[in-house]
Amino acid sequence: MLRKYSNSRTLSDNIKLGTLTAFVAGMVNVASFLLFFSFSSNVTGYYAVMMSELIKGNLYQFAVVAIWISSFFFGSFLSNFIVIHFNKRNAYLAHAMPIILEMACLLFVGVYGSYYYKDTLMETEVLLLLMLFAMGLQNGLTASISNFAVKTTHLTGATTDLAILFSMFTHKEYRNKQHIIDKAKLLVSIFASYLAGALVSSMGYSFLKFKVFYIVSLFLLFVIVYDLYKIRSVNRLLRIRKKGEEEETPEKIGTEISKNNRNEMVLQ
Amino acid sequence: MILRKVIYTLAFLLLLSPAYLLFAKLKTPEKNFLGIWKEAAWEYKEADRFLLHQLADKQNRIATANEEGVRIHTGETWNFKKNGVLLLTKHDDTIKTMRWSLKGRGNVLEITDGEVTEHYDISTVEQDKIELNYLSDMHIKESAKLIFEKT
Repeated sequence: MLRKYSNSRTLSDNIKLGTLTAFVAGMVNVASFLLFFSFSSNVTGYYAVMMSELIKGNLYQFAVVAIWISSFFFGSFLSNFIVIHFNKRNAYLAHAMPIILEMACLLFVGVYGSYYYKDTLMETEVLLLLMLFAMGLQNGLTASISNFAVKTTHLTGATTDLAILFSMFTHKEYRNKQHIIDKAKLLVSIFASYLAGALVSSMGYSFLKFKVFYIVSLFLLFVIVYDLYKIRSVNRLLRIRKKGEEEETPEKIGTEISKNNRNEMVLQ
Repeated sequence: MILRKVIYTLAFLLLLSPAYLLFAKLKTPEKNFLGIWKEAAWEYKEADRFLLHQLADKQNRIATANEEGVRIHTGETWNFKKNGVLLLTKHDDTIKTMRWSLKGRGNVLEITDGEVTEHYDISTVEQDKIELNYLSDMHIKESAKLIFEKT
């Protein structure tokens, strides 16, 4: 899910990454709206809000929204920065690091909200900033490693893509093209997962409140650990194979030596 | 090379400017609320009046079950204090002590007494006037407006 990069990724890799991260995005977005009356990944909407606040002369609100948009920007920037600079040294770590940072941000929101939140506006703004940063990290990572095939924090572009794909299915020339079917499968799974996340979050919010972010963090932990487990399994297999080869080699040498000895004896 | 550096610096400064504005120049919206405000009027469309009262009646009845809801405020004075305390008084008697806080980007007012929680969209905050739009799931925003005047 996280190990492979760009064109070496399979549809299955993208679906796994897309569904898990879309579920997280759905949960975070709904939780932020229910807790703070603001979305945490609706960046398009924030551009409109920012300009309308400016027109109304609400400079404070304008500045707050501008900072939120910037934090989403920095999240995506940092994600891709980590991927392109550290991909060659350790691909897994380069791809897992943005998810680890995202998890840290959301876990902080959960812990702070549960134990220290005093309901002040400053706290609300900072916690939303962290959520937008986390969503930027996630969107930057998924888009970066999947060659822009997977974007999970907002569905505007995905809705457009899905509409285009569905319209293509009305034409028999495109209906059976595998790459179009694959793209549709990916988008439908992202949509379903985002909605499921949103549903779980809105149902759990009334009794979990900020603890919703603990569940979100568990999902992100699963994304990180899943690939780590796979890498460990592959490494273990490689080690076993290597060990087997090493054990085989002395035996082979031994049989060849004894064959030679036998030949020498025959000659004598 | 120099041009690129200038462009990067300008872009960076442009991104930082909202933060500078926020921390150095602007007053937090919470400060605009501090003080005593008298309810001047509730304005709502006639069609929504019935709806709003029905909702208020129903939710006030079930408030003890910790439901979120709405209360119709009439002729009360709201004293927004610094520590998040809101005192509602009528004819100089304190009728309720509540908590107040701003949500979102400072565009939503939340008041709660622990049982009923009300949300208002802040449409105007001026020196001597506040206009709040009641927010509910029933989409009667813009139809139920609570107007305050500074005392």
